[in-house]
Amino acid sequence: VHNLNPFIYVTAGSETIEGGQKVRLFRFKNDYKQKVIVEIFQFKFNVYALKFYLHNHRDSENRYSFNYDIRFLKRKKITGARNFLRTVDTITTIALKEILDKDIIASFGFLGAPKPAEKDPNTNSKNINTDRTIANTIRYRIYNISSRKIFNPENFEYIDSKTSSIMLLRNNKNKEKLTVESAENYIKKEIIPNL
Amino acid sequence: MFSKLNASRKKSKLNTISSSKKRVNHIFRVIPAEEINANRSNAYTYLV
Repeated sequence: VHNLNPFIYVTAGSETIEGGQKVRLFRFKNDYKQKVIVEIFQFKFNVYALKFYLHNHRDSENRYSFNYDIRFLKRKKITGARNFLRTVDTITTIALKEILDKDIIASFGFLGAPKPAEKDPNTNSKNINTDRTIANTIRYRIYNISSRKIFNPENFEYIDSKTSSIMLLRNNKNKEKLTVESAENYIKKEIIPNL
Repeated sequence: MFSKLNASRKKSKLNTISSSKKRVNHIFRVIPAEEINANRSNAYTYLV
């Protein structure tokens, strides 16, 4: 079995955002003793998206794109890999324990937010789309590979869009309502325009 | 403690850059189960 090695997380309540959507919150401390906030958004068709960021970046427009500076990692003599993997394991654990255990038809969507350098038109223009999405981000590639250890393709359909760095893990228990076609349309017409 | 948390206080820029929006014909594909199974170790079983 692929064992997860999550940080200890706790619930941090919920809040209602613009448009009336309720967002559930969790928090945990990472390897560097920094607080990380996890937000759970629920969309149509029992689709959930989990977003996370450092608590001290909560007011930043770029809070989802943060990555630790190489100088910070060098100073600590670490690569940052362990912290990143445990962070992904924590998000996965929250997805499984806090969502899928309570909603057995839940599907999961993820978007690999670009690192700051990937947003730079001078260095990454070929991947920057005119609808403001960014193709094939590093985080998208990592999440894509990580999810293949967790979600059995017999139970979840992998609906992948490299051009927008989005993947939907469609729960096959909900395949009558959330067809591949309806999922694609929903992502194109509702998710991407509102990013 | 978390009263200041506000997911939408500032527009999320999860995967965006600042430019005008134009429609892009994104490509979607269903990854075949064989492809997912082929790239993993037999030592692991799926969690769900």
